[in-house]
Amino acid sequence: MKKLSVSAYLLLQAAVSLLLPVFYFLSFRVSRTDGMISSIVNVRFSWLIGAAVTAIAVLSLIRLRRERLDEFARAAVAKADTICFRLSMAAVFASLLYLFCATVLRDGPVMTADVIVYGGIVVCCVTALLVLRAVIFCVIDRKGLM
Amino acid sequence: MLVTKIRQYREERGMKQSELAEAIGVRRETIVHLENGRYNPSLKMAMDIAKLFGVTVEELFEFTDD
Repeated sequence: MKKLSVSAYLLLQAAVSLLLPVFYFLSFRVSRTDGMISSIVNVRFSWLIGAAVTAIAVLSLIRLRRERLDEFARAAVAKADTICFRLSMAAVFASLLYLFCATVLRDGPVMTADVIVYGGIVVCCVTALLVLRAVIFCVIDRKGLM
Repeated sequence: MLVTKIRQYREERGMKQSELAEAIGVRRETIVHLENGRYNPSLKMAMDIAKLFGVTVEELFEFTDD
């Protein structure tokens, strides 16, 4: 039975995820007043984000359904996921702190520019975690688990 | 520490790592890590390898105090 290259799947997934921040910031067209973002004019190219997210999800499903991971690969993926989960908790905490500062501590209503930046942070965190997960798996796959 | 004689038994039988990997249904990288002591296998995998070589698990693996 030919075994699938798990590294290839994870690296492909990470490569697709790198498109997410690009698509995200492409999707907004904003009007500026004195160089500052004043409002979102419209949202465009949102289908690109949807396509990238769908590709990532499909890659995950294919990998899981084919069940070609042997026990070492499963252990390596589990370890990479554990490390990334801890980091994602830190990222979520930082994001919540940012949201709190951007909304509650500011005078006036929530600004649209803040919402854009907040969303950007979330997208960048997701991308960074997917890339890091692939890198951690490749390192474990090369060096072993001991 | 788990010391394994997988490499010794494999070479005695003239098997390649890829052949052993295919016989027990894992990737070749897993065999590499097993032989180099960088991965402790599950009981099932240990028994599969022992059965393939026609030896007991105790003959195939040995625990040391290090």
